Amino acid sequence: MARTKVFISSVNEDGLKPLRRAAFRDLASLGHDPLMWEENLGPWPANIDPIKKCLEAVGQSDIYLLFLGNKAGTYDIRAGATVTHMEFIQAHEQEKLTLVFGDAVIKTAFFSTVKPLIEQLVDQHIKEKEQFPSPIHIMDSLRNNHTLPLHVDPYVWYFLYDITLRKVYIDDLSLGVPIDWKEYFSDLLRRGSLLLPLEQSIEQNSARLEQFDEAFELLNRLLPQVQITGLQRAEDFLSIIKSRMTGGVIEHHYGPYVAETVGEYSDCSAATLYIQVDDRLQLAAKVGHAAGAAYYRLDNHSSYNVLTYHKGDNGEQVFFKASKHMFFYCIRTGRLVLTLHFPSHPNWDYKKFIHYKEAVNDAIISKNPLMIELIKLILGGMQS
Amino acid sequence: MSSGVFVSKNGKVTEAVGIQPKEALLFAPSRKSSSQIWREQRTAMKRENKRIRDRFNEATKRV
Repeated sequence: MARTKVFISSVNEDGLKPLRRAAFRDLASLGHDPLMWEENLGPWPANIDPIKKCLEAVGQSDIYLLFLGNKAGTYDIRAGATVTHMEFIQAHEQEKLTLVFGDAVIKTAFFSTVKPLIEQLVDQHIKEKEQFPSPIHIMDSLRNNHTLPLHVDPYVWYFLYDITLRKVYIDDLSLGVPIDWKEYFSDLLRRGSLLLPLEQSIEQNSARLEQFDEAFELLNRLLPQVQITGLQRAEDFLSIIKSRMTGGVIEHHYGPYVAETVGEYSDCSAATLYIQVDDRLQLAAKVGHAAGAAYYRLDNHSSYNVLTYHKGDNGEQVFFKASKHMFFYCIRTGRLVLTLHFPSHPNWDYKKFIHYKEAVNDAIISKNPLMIELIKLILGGMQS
Repeated sequence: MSSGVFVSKNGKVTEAVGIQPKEALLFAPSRKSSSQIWREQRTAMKRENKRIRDRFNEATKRV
């Protein structure tokens, strides 16, 4: 039978040594296969890069177990992280079951005092520099804060912050109090036992997802081969689209884990469809509260419909007009231009749009690109 | 410094520099089209789906 490989990770600090040794011994006696640097990993053979060897061992393990005390350990300048932190990142990136135990006193100080300080620092930095502060910047700020416990390396606070950003739970670790691994692993077994019987349901859902994807792929290939003679009731066609285009939040992202909500947009309130005829775009249909002029000349660059038309086939663009409190998502397919109106909150003005232009584009275009593809395919079939 | 935002005012499109009137029509070219985003999401969906199946295969395999 395969045994569970547990990588035991921590800084090599005195306070954690008995705990590491006890964990190794207890896990081995329970029939698991613990991996730990000083016991069965290194430093053999002599010519091997120890960091590389540790990271490979993390990759081969089933469970990554981390003990965090007050010491940060060896900082690798090239990586901009400590070796222990690199191991944690490796485990997280490879989606290993990650168990973190943090010194209970340090953990309390972190959540009550340090985390709010870091969050304040991050907010301030983002406001001033429009980017997430570097780890060095965070550590320097914490180092200069003399209200924090001096015996804790600033990197430990940064490490704990990164763990919380990745939404990994931190268990309490009381130095000198042994962890009951039998009980702990029994609970893990209970959790796994809840999930394993779902294998068949998950497999079925996974197969259905593939079926949906294949069906859409078929549509994607078939519809361009079809000539659609027109819309039976163009307003109904637009109403169906409008009713499915929901609003959402506008988030500005700072790296992969941090996002700030900077605004919202409401459900689609109106839609128009224009068709190019000679030197103009002619209104084909409109629903909702859209001005929807009867036509726009193709040299009228005040119209978002015309501007989108000139982007070429399959061009699309999000526009904003403060006086209307509105975002306009325009999509051109062949001779047609579809525009969806999404009301913005009244606090959106030109400054905010310029500042968060990418966040607005992402929020509206990424909301459900599959639906947009389908609409484009259908409109594309009407081009004959 | 370029704002990366364009404005249509009185039928002319220029880069948006300085104060803009409320009637100004503003837009910024998107880094990705909906088609590109859909393709990326589709690739990610297939990858995640495969990962889940592989994990279950590994978890239920008798060694």
